[in-house]
Amino acid sequence: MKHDKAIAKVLKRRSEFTLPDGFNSRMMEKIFLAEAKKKRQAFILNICLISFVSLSLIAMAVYLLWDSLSTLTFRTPALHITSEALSQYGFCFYIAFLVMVLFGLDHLFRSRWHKKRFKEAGH
Amino acid sequence: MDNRDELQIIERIRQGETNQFSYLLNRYSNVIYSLIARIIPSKEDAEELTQDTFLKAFRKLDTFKGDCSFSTWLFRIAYNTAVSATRKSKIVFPLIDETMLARVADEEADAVFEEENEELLRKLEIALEKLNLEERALITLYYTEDKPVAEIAAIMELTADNVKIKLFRIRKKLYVLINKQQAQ
Repeated sequence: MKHDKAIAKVLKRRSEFTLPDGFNSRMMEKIFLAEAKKKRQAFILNICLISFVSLSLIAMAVYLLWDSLSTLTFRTPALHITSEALSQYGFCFYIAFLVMVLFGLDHLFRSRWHKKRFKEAGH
Repeated sequence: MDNRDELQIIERIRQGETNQFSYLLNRYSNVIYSLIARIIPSKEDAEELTQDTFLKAFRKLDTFKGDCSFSTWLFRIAYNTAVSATRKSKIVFPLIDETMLARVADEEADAVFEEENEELLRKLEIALEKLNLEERALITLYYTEDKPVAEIAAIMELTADNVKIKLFRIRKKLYVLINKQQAQ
């Protein structure tokens, strides 16, 4: 690639481009400000991220709890008592009652018999 | 400060030693300003764009992978910053008829640009003002900063062949612009 003398000379002799005094120190101040802003943004981003993750976890826990409780309710069988079943239940209660009456009578007769034996033995 | 020292300084800045950025500023602020001032007409704008370049470089320092030199990376940011600024301000550069450029033989341009008489240099100075931003950036990097074609290609995100073609085209354009001045 050719390096033309005339072009190079014109470009180099054009006004010297130098930055004003104090540019670098002013620039460093801006860099420090940019760094502080960067840190602040990172902090806010972290807070947002942590809040988002925490809220998501809480929401998930609530949802899972709610879901499992509603499933439990769902699984509880509903009682549908038909007339046929009701007569069966009635018969069962009747037998149970009869058994209780018989146990009661048994207890009564036994206690009377024991009392009678006790009186005969005392005399 | 060689390339390795520079990479160490960059690493220290990344780890929080922000004051180390002043080494990079002292080393590159004037060359970056010089590039921008040569491609942007206003000196005030050039100073502001130099600031923007360094702020962008600082903010994006984590993205610098070291696959090219820091200066190439910084020049690329400066060039892109200048390009975006001119897009916003909508500066209009004069167009030149492509057929006129096609008619110019390389030897003709070679002969003219080998001369160094004052008249030619004055005309060349006027012609340089009529180049567009990309052309100004190309010749500044090639003739003033003495950057090799491969590095210019990396800065301007072009291929090396494309850079060579564009440089040849700029020479022809300057030749046509000088001839136009003579005709007037």
